[in-house]
Amino acid sequence: MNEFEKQYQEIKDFLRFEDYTLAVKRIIDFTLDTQDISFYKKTCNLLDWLDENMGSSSKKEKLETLLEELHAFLAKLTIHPAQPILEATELKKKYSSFSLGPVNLTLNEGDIIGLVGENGNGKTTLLRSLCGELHPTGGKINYKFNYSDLYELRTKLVYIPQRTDTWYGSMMDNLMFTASSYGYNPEESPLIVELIVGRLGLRNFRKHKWKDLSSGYKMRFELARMLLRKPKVLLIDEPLANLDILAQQTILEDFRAIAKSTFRPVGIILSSQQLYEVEKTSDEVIFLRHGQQKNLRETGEDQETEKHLVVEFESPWTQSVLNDCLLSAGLISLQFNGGTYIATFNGNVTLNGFMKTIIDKNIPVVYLRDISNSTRRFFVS
Amino acid sequence: MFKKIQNHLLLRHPLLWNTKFIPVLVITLVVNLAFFIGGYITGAVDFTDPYGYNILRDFKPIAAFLAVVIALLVIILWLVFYVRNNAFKSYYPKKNNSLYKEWLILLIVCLLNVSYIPIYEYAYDLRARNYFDKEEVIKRADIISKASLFVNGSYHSWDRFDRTMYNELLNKKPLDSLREYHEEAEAIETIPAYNHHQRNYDEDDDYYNREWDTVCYFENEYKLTSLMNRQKESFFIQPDINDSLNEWKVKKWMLNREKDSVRKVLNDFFALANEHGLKANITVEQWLNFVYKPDMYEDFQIVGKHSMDAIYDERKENNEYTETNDTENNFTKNIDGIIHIYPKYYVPFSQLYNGYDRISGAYVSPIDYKDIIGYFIFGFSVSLLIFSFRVTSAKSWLIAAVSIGVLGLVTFIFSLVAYYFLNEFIIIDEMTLFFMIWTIIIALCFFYFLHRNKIKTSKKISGIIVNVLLWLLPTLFIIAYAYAWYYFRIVEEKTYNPYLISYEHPPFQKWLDENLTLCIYCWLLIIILYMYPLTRLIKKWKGIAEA
Repeated sequence: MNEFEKQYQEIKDFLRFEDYTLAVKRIIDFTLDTQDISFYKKTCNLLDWLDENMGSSSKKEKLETLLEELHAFLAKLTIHPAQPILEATELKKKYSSFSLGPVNLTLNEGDIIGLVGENGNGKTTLLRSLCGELHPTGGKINYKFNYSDLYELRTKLVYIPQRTDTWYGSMMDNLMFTASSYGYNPEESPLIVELIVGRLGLRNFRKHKWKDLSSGYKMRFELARMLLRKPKVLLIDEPLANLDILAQQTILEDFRAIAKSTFRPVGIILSSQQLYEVEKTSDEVIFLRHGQQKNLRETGEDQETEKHLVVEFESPWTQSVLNDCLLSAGLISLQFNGGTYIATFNGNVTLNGFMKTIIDKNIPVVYLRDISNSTRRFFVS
Repeated sequence: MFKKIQNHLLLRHPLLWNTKFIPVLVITLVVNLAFFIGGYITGAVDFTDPYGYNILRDFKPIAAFLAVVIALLVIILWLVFYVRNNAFKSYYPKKNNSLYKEWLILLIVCLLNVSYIPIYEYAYDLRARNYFDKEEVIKRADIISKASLFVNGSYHSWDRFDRTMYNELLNKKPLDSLREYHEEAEAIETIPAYNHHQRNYDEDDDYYNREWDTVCYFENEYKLTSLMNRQKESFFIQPDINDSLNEWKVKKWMLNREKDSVRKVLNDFFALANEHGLKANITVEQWLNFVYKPDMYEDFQIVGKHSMDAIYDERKENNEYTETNDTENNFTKNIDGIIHIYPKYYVPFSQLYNGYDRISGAYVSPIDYKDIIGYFIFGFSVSLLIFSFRVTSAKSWLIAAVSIGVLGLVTFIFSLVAYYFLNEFIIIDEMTLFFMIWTIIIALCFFYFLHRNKIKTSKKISGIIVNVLLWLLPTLFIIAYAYAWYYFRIVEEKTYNPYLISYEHPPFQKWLDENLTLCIYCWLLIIILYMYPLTRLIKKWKGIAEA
């Protein structure tokens, strides 16, 4: 079963379990994949119908019919294997008081790379370098697509800074302007804007003003505009900042769906402080400390670290008491960091073993997480 | 409707939508049309105005004030919408010519927005011209001009003071004061020489007794206060030859006692007055009888130019020039304790003269391409200022403005100091030195911009430089013009010959001098031309990394 079929089955499951919100989003993704105006119209009509008939019993049937049509159409299309889209080699950017790199990364179509690290460690610098806003002082960035000049290159690298500019005027006009600037034809533009607005759950906010939108919806509108720009690479700085946990999960899920589109894959690099959320979504996570790169899934020295069990947990007990209790369970080190303990055990210890110990010793624990495969551990050592 | 058009443009022509071209075009055209209509309405000639000013002319300053206020409002309102979206700043795809098109749109908007006053002026004059065609106006102006000899007016003024030197000159070159008249008329018929004066100059008296003063017309001597010495009124529209001939012709008729010809002049005037519904308190015959005094034309009755034209008869002037009410030519009325003076006899001369003077002016000096050049320059300047703001950033724009101001002051002071302290070593003056420094600055900016575009590493300060170039490249023309003048002055100084009465300028200098307007229009055209490659270069420059 190829990726497309998997996604098709996924949508069918959403419908089966009557998760219409997700089903509609994914059906819109399929509609956009078709790049066929007749499907755009059908889906837009269905979205309009859904607005007025949310409680209708024929909703499921209509969605299923459209899904089948989309499936029939898309199944005939060729799926191209994901290609590398961007390659940074020994990338360096030096300032008087800070130096980034060398950084090496390869971004493929459909991949998401998460950038994590403490503030002031080079995440934004790296994103700005990759989007052409900063000129690297060393190394090379190889963009694997055609462009005639630097301006055209930057039209294809869409960067959303942490603090976005205010949108003036109607939200829909702004999106329509982006669509027509990016060459969608006059018939196509309103439909595609409607679809993307629907895709990002913004249909009820179409007539809102920018200042009346919450941070989450502002980010969604930015994302909508970004999608209209047919980007080769999306570079997003701290998209999860100021979002509540639910909004964070939704937006990350949207990123994932957008990146993993079978027919229109996009490479995404995003920076965030939300380690666990980013790690869940990303194909690769790069940790930056003092401008130096550490990849989560890397060979070499870090493999040694991965052999250990690293657990983050919270307990009211003191460090020395905990240390005494856990030593017998194979504890190598115990660090107290920001209200939580980071315990490193030798490679023979498993998470279940650790849990058994805390039960046996009756250690009160309010929270625990296995961070053996998380960049969280880089923040500690 | 606007919304529909904007929506259409939004989907098909994002640049036009983004620049809000159609709404601003419609608004500026409507405002221009309003000013045209306003100009046309207020440009109506008032044929009942005897006081030398057209009351409607008072609208001109109001129109100018309104034009400035509306232009400011339009540009601010437009900019508010225009700056909302900047596709260039957001790196939306743009064709290479797209920026050039955007600047042309800005230029059109700016030119339309500064054209309210010229449009008003044009319509104002057009209304006046639409009354009669040029030939007809000249014909009517001739009638009024001829009739002006028979209404209250001034005499040809002769020097009333020490005429010794003047008469010496006259002896050598007779008719000097009438030279213009003479030169124009002599081609048709020679006017007898004005070659002698009966004069008696009293050295103890500053004033010359005009009773002794005479003037010679057609070999006859007349008093200065004779109707033969009356100065006619003229219009700019009249060809010089007509201007002189009219007076000469009428005076010839007066001399030859051609009463019918004189009557015809007065008749024609009355016909014109009747056409405009203007009234006199005398008939043609009465008027003729008042002024047709062929015996030296001294004993004539003065006829007022309009009903309130208080007449002052110079024939009654005494040596002290005391003001007295001329009861022979005027009568007085006491209205509410205020004494009003009215002429006993009048014709509606002033009304006709003022009316046709307005029309004449509208033909002779209508607003033309020379007058609007300032508006063009202003429109171009504003368009470049907005464009530079658009393609760079507010910060760069502001730094560029401050830098130019500071650098301008510093280089100016430096030029002055260098000139005054080093003038033994440098041969150029302070302004040329100033221009030279700025030529170097502009050249350096240009090469810096090209260099950044070539190495493509980072923009550094090139955002500021782009502003400087957009603002100052046009001034190279002014600098080049100044250089040309400087060069010619050097040549002139080198080849100066004190024995030559007048210096013949080189042909190119003469051409520059005579064709300044053409040069400025060519300069504006050059700006339009060079903006094409420059905007393409700016588009490429925009892709370079910021730092």
